[in-house]
Amino acid sequence: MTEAASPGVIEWERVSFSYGAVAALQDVSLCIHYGELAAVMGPNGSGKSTLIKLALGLLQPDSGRVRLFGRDVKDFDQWGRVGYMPQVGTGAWRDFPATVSEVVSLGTYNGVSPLGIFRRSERADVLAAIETVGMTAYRSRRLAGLSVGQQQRVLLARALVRNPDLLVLDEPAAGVDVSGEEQLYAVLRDLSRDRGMAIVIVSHDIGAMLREATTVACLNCRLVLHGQPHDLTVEEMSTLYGAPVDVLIHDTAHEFEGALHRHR
Amino acid sequence: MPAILQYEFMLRALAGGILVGVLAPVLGTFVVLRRLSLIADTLAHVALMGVAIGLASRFLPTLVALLAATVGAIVVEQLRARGRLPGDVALAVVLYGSLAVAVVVIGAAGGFNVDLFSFLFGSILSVAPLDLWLLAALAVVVLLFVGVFFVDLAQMAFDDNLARVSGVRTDWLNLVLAVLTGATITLSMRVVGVLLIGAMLVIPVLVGLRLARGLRAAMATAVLAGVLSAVAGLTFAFYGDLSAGGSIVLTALLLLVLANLLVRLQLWRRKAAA
Ligand SMILES: Nc1ncnc2c1ncn2[C@@H]1O[C@H](COP(=O)(O)OP(=O)(O)OP(=O)(O)O)[C@@H](O)[C@H]1O
Ligand SMILES: [Mg+2]
Repeated sequence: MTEAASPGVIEWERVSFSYGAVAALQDVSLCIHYGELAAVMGPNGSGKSTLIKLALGLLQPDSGRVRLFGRDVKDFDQWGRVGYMPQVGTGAWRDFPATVSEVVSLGTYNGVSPLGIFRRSERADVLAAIETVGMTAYRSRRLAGLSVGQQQRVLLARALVRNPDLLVLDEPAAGVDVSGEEQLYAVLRDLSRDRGMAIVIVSHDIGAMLREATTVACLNCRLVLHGQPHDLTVEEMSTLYGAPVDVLIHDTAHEFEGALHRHR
Repeated sequence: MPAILQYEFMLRALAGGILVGVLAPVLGTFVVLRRLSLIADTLAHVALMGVAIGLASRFLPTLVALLAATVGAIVVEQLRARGRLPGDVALAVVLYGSLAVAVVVIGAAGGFNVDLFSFLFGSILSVAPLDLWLLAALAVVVLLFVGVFFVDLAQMAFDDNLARVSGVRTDWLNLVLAVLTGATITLSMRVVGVLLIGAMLVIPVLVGLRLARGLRAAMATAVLAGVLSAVAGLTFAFYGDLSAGGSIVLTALLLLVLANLLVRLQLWRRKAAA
């Protein structure tokens, strides 16, 4: 399937957005396809989370259009096809009284369910999702009592349990340790390659993104760069971040050959 | 029969107290988890403005207050949903604006009287049969709403954005929740008073969150704490000739202290055992 022929899962078409007077995004056009593992990168405040929120209809663009699965996001209603993991602020869920499996089972929501008040939270799919993120030992623990990295994993499981066609992750690896990160990328690789899931991942980990992603979009209010990881040069990345970028590739098991040749 | 049950006004007060003890913590659970306690206070003052206008015009103050609180709830919710509430400033403006209107209206209508006093602090003498019927009807509506939409409301309490991306119709659920909270606050005024109704939305819920594990259990525990505070508080008020609202809230605070002690004790015993 060529890029042009395959339908876009998310399409941003000349999108601009500002918070009051602060322009967060200007004239961004971007398209994500099935089976794509798209990395969104850029410095703090470059509009990455804003781009994600526009895609999910949490914000409305000032101009331009956003389409999800070919439909304007304003009219989109097949939310069962979308899994979302927001950027975790520290202590955001401090008081919420729920165990890990209860939080993950919140992800199985699919429309109004009268009497859902009596639903069991330890269903097989919920347990499987918890297993995937390596939190089985913690499944009856209260979310509030977990570390930030553990909470991240629980939220990832909450997104995965929906078995979505599109997975949107805002900094899923921030606060997750090395083995957790390796586990995360292994899961994402399987989902995008075997199941053809479209995955959008916001991250500051340039090395991991160049290694794992199939496409990379670099934002800085505008879309600065967009292409395959091996199309990007260290110089371009350094300009984007305004500081010398030293790409460390610490895992050689599944790297993209092209990227390596350029960066070494 | 104990003296407290021999007076009709006291039976009405107890019935009202029990209804408030159920209603306030049920809605309060969502208010607390979403960190909206200032909204509750704001709605209480909007309702007070309604009461003042109702008292001044001598036209069913409870119903006028209900109307004001409903309009207020819709306005405040719209402000919140559009992100037009930077911090708490806009809420504070609505709160003090309503309070100022209330004070001006009462002043112009001939000064403060006992009736207004009972709205401010609650009074076991003033719970009227109409208030009770309205409270009972509201309880039916709230329990039905929360029962049917429990999962959706839980999603929203966990994270509003996540709920929206899961397909929860947060816009109108939020609106209904705000209107029901406004109505609960208004109808609870006769029992606990404007100044203390926020406490009934928050304190029993904190007891529930302290003691229970899951959301359902926390809500149930909060309701238990709410009903217990209302009944015990009204009993103290009756025998000690104290303010109804004050006694109820002090009882709730006592329960919160006890809940904290209980949790500490459990921790301590677990440590000792280990
Ligand atoms: N709620 C808001 N109100 C006002 N301005 C905002 C708001 N959220 C973000 N901004 C501004 O919009 C710009 C883009 O923010 P955004 O959150 O999209 O950045 P980001 O790329 O996700 O950053 P980070 O790497 O820190 O997560 C920033 O300048 C930020 O200050
Ligand atoms: Mg961000």
